[in-house]
Amino acid sequence: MKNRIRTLRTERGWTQADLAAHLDVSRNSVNAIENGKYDPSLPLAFKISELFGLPIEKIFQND
Amino acid sequence: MNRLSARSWRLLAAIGFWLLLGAAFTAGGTIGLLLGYASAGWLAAFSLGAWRRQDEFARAAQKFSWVFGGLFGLLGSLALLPLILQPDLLDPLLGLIENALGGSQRPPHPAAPAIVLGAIWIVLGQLVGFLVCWVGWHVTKQ
Repeated sequence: MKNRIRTLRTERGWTQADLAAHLDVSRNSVNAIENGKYDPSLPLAFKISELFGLPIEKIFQND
Repeated sequence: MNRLSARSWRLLAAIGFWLLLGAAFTAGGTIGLLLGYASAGWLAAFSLGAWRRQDEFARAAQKFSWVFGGLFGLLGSLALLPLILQPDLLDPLLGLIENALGGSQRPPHPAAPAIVLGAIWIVLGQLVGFLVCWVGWHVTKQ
């Protein structure tokens, strides 16, 4: 699954560690999600969606 | 304790477990057996603490590693049984376990050291399988 998390994060001037702190996950998790190596659970996807103020489908897209 | 990270809990789990297990083998006899139970209890309690503090990515890594690493570690330990059955390796290990089980006394049954060694062999196989898969998971998810 593709996502725009890296773009959205850098637009806000956040590091991966900053985003990890906002989401209460590890930096490794953020890195894996950004690189498309790990698909977050639905609750985490909703958390990301709320944090960026965008619907989930605007952040995550099917390959 | 609640402020400690999952990594700290894992570290405490491992250090306490190996210290208590080492003490169990050193003490032997009834005290050794009690220390062995204490080491298992310690590992269970601190592993649970670490699990509760992990995020979903770390939990996914552990689930994957136990399913596949545990399975292939189990199969590997069975496949490598001929290795441990070599007298040069088997005799010293059995002697060590016999000593730990009975101390200066006689072990409860002549087969007891072999049964304990078999159990340790399987657990070690699963542990190695888990670690290989866990490291592999993190390397491939970078």
